[in-house]
Amino acid sequence: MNKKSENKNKNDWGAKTNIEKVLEILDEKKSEKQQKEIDGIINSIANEPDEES
Amino acid sequence: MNQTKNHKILIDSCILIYCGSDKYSERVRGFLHLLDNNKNKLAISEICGFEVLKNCLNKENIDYYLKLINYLDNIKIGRYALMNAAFLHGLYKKDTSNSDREEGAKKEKMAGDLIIGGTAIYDGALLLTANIDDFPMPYWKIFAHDHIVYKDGPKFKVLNVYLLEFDKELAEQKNPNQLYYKPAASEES
Repeated sequence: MNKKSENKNKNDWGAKTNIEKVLEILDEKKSEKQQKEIDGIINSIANEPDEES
Repeated sequence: MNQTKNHKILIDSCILIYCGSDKYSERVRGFLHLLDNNKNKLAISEICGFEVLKNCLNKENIDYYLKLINYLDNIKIGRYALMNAAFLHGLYKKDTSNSDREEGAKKEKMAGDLIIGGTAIYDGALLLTANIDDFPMPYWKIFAHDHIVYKDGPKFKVLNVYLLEFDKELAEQKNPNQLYYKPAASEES
């Protein structure tokens, strides 16, 4: 594959990320029902966290 | 992690999921804010949307994660990212060493993690993850590390968060006959 076609396939990195909106969303509080589902998802995907003594 | 500047950073699906949990969201928010302030370019792979939303049944959670996904740059999964994912699959399987992390490398990896890894390699990006076993050593090196301490009932627990970098030289040494696509040196940031 030549350089020209490599460049054509490159992504325009991070250009569409709106970090202010992302941070705003992270501040949103979830209902108990929402939180319960999210905790369930985390338990199914996560490595067991380390316990701190 | 605060020394990490001017990099492309691909956010793993697990980090996106952790964003939704009140236990972790404040600290994850801190990491993302810091990385953005340090002029890093943050994005997710297109497959993150699938990986996150497939687990959600609650409409409010679907709306929550959709907003998050849509405000992040979604990096396209091209054929080269998929070729790299196939390469990683072969590389992990081929490994026969026996340290704990490398033991993890021999386990069958989920396609999503392979594709996220393949995308990071193609785009020359670091990977932000809390699930280090999904991106096994020695191929993925720890570039930076931080942790979140939280209370879980009476106990304090620690969630480790990593920025990982793919070791291209090692991958080529270990598997010289298998080609994979990587950006030309001049295109890497």
